[in-house]
Amino acid sequence: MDREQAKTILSAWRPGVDDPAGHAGLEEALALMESDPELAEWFAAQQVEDDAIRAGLRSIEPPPGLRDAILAEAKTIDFPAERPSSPSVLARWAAIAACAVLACLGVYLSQRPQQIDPRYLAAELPRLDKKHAHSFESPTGDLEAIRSWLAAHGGPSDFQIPPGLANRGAIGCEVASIEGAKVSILCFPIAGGEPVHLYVVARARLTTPPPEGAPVIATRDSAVLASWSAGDLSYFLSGRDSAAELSRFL
Amino acid sequence: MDAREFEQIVDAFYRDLYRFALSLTRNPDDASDLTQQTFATFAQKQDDLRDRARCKSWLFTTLYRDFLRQGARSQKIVSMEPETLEIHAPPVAATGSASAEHREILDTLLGLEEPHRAVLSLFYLEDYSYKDIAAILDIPLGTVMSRIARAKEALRAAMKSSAG
Repeated sequence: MDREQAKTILSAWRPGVDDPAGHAGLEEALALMESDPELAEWFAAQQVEDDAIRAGLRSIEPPPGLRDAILAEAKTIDFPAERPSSPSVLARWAAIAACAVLACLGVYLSQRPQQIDPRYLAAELPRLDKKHAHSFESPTGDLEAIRSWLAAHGGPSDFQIPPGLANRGAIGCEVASIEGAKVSILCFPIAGGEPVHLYVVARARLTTPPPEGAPVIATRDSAVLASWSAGDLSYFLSGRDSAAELSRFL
Repeated sequence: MDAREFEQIVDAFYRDLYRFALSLTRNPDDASDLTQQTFATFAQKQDDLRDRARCKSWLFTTLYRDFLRQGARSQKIVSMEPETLEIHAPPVAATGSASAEHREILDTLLGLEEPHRAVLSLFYLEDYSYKDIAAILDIPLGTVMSRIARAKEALRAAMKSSAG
């Protein structure tokens, strides 16, 4: 596969939405991007362009009266006012039996790890960037102490810090629970700029984890997000500056 | 489903459905009609659609099929002239320079051929997976990626052309 073929394939790919697994061409194009900085740069520019187009399309507002017209038309349709009441004895026993089955199913499901859609996770990150607390803060940047604290609170702790963020001094951290999955949050202060946040989650907890290897950078609204997977973990690095700026920390 | 549930579903999806309809019809009045008609069908078939998680996909699929049926019955929707599009230009919520930029993007998209408009609006507006897009447009999964790539290329070329 050459660079132009890879561009054709990558132009139709949205990180965090489309799972590369099972798309041989896409996996090959992503592998090529890892070793081709020019292709990676082109893809980052594509993401910026895509965001502008997406914002343009989402700026369309329906005519003011459309919602009312839809609801007015629906009023002619016979919706049930309330659920049927006074069930028969047989129906009551059937309902009790169904509840028992559902309760057993609930216990079974609650013991299975729930998987999160990475789109949901990505949508949550801007909020977490602003709202998370620093339950543990190491003024000396003692990474081992941070790992111990995260592990004690159920968060992934055996992570790799991206080279651009290593030795950056004090790191704040927290463990968040998103849809039942524990996510380790590491907050890196950046001199003269907004902090960047590294989110680490068990790869198995994501429905479509980011690809292995080189981070994929995507921008949406005013947030920039790099995502990748390595080993059993998936990583999301979130910042508010440009894609180029975020790349410095990878 | 009661009236309150129906209203919640309308509130959740009518904007995106209208945007998709507008990308297909290129005319705000036709887009409103198509959106309204889709919800009317949905309300009538509520008992057949018990899985609420499938609502969104069902609404988009139904709207697209209705659009194709109308197009087959009459060329009214697909034969809009550029001058007519200008007159019926949809309102754009954003203001200032962003508004002008958004309007330009929208105009360029609406100028593309229908297969490109449909796949791009689902690609950009809804963040649907390839599988979802294939199901809504009723095309093979393998065609989705190539069609998106071609449509984006066409959009980019049209934007360059209008800028230059």
